[in-house]
Amino acid sequence: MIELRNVSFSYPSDGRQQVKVIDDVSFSIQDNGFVGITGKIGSGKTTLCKLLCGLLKPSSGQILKEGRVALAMQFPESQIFENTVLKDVMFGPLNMGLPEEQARSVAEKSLESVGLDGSFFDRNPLRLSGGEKRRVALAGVLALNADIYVFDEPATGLDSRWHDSLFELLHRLNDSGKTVIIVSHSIDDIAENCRTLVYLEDGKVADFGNTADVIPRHRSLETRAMGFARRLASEGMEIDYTKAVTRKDLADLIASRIQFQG
Amino acid sequence: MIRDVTLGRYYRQDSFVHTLDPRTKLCGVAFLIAGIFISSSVISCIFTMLCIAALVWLSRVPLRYMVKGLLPIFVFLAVVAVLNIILVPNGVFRAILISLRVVEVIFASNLLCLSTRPREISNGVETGFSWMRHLKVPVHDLATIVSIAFTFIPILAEEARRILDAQTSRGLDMRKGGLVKKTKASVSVIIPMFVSAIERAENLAVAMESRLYGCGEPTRLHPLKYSYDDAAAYVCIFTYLLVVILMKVGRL
Ligand SMILES: Nc1ncnc2c1ncn2[C@@H]1O[C@H](COP(=O)(O)OP(=O)(O)O)[C@@H](O)[C@H]1O
Ligand SMILES: [Mg+2]
Repeated sequence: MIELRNVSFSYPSDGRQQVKVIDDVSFSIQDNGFVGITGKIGSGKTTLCKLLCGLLKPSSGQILKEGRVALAMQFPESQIFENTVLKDVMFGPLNMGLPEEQARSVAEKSLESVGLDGSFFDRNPLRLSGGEKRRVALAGVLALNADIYVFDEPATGLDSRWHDSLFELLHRLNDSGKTVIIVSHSIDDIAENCRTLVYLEDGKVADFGNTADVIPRHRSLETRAMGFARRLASEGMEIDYTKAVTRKDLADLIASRIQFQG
Repeated sequence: MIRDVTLGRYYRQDSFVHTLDPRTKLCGVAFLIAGIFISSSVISCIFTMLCIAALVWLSRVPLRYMVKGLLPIFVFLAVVAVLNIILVPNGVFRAILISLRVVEVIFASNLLCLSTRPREISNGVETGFSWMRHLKVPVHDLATIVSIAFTFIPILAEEARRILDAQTSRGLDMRKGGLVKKTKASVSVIIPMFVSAIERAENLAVAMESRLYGCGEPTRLHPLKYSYDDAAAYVCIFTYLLVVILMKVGRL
């Protein structure tokens, strides 16, 4: 469980006006949740991630955590520095004080969970492709064996194949009992994957709740499926586009209309 | 330490110092540094200090802002001063004088960066040294290098912070452990820094070439022009250097 109580945060400034980047934010996330955080650029998503994992301390308010939180930063591949993939992933476990043997087996497991097999272990991570580097970096975070994982825009810059396997990985992580929190500005990714949604606007929580409830309440959060349903509605089909949040919802709605007429 | 680098960052302000021609300021800093090296007495050191203080006041950059970015350097200076005091006979006096002069050099050059945009500095260097073109010196390229170096300081500082954050969340603790462990820890920040700096440099080079950098003599958007303020400033600069030289000659 992780709970925020009236958390505010401003970056230290050079004597000029201080702006609250996070402004009186309160919400709580249950164990084994799959949560999405969305909002415009500059709305404070990254800052919130850093607060959640403890890289930043709130200026006021409290963050209560049960369990450890690990953060995969945006473009995590910039953290890679060792000369073999395996050593780089072992960096975290070793820092946590695990003995070498154990660190190695943890690292091997997390590399396999991101789909990199033994043939990658001894390669130089800096010479891998962009998607492979991203996987190595994510494995480095997964190897921390935390209870809550925060991913800041994990899908940015990945092609669609990598993108799908990334979300498969996140679901596997969630199925294994971990809490997964992702930041994304793709409302489609969030609608398809997250059960809970935090909608940030200028550092405030503009809305919080079940993804399927929150999304229809905001015009700016319209998914592609909803846009498609709205087009169908404007063409005369009797369909409630606010119910077509995901592709599956849309398919079900259309199927039920077709059955009804048939 | 890397978390708040103000060294070399421009501070926007509308002041006498900010609006001076960059050539004037470059010349001023050069003369100040020359003056600092010439002066070896307490009195001339204090005189230089007063001049710099006047400049800081004229530039209307908050002193707190200036000093904040210099803290690591002050730590370094303190160590050097202590070593001086311990190792050199009659060291206390010399240590203070030397540290004072280093601080003066740092303040003078820092003031230049705080009051002048990197673009202006490179423009000033280029225009001021344009006569060297006849000696086949690539003045424009050198000026571009200087200006890019300055623009990259805050970008690289930001990058360092990002990487430090990433490694910290992987359990890196810079404060823990002995020397070996600390060295190992800094490697995990320095190597990604090099990787990203080299990547940036490559991207920038390609971007510049694809926009025809080096295909001819570029024209200027803001050609430099001296004003009366600059004339006044030059008078002050020359007077300063003259006074310092006279102090030296007069053993004051
Ligand atoms: N290190 C920093 N220092 C000062 N201000 C910052 C810093 N990082 C972010 N900000 C400011 O905080 C606000 C929120 O930034 P961020 O959390 O990165 O937003 P998002 O991730 O939603 O795009 C922005 O206005 C940004 O300018
Ligand atoms: Mg962000």
